[in-house]
Amino acid sequence: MIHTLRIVFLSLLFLLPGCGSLGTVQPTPGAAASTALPEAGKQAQLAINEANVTLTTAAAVIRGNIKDQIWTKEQAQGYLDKVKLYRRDVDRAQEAVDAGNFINAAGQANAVRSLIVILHREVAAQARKEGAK
Amino acid sequence: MSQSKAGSIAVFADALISAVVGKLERDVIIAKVQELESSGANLDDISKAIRKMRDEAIDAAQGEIDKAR
Repeated sequence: MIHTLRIVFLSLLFLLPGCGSLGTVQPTPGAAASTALPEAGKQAQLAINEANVTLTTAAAVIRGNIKDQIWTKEQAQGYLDKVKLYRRDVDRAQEAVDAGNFINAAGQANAVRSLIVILHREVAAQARKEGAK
Repeated sequence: MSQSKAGSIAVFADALISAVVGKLERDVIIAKVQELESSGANLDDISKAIRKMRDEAIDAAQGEIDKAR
């Protein structure tokens, strides 16, 4: 039952209105008024935060799918390896922010976030495939 | 309590987290961000907290994979 629900949820995932926002960076009104970062730095940091929230979610999905035996160990490890790879990219963007290179940082964060969205789609497609077996 | 930062993150992650790993997981992230906000945390503090949650989630997933046969 849980397996079926998970497949249904994953299948619906990219049809949900909120998921459309995954492809674009969402503004964060009023965020961190007290921060010392200039506006460009703040926007870069927010993009990084959004990428990190997405990675956190991806890791939780992977954990759930291996725990519920939806995926094999190899499948789950493959996806988690990608998450780790993207984490490294996001951390590089963070280093750029910390160094004051805000334009590069925002570009890096948005680029890796696009890759993370692709990973999510792969995850959903794979779950649908497994559910159809 | 200002919920602007938490609200933004919620909008971003809401559908994904709610649909796939359930409301509880989403609530954990948002509650932690709101807790930081209410304690006067700035963007740097919140960013560090999100990174910590990310690393913990990845470690937990790796732990689950390692346990699997």
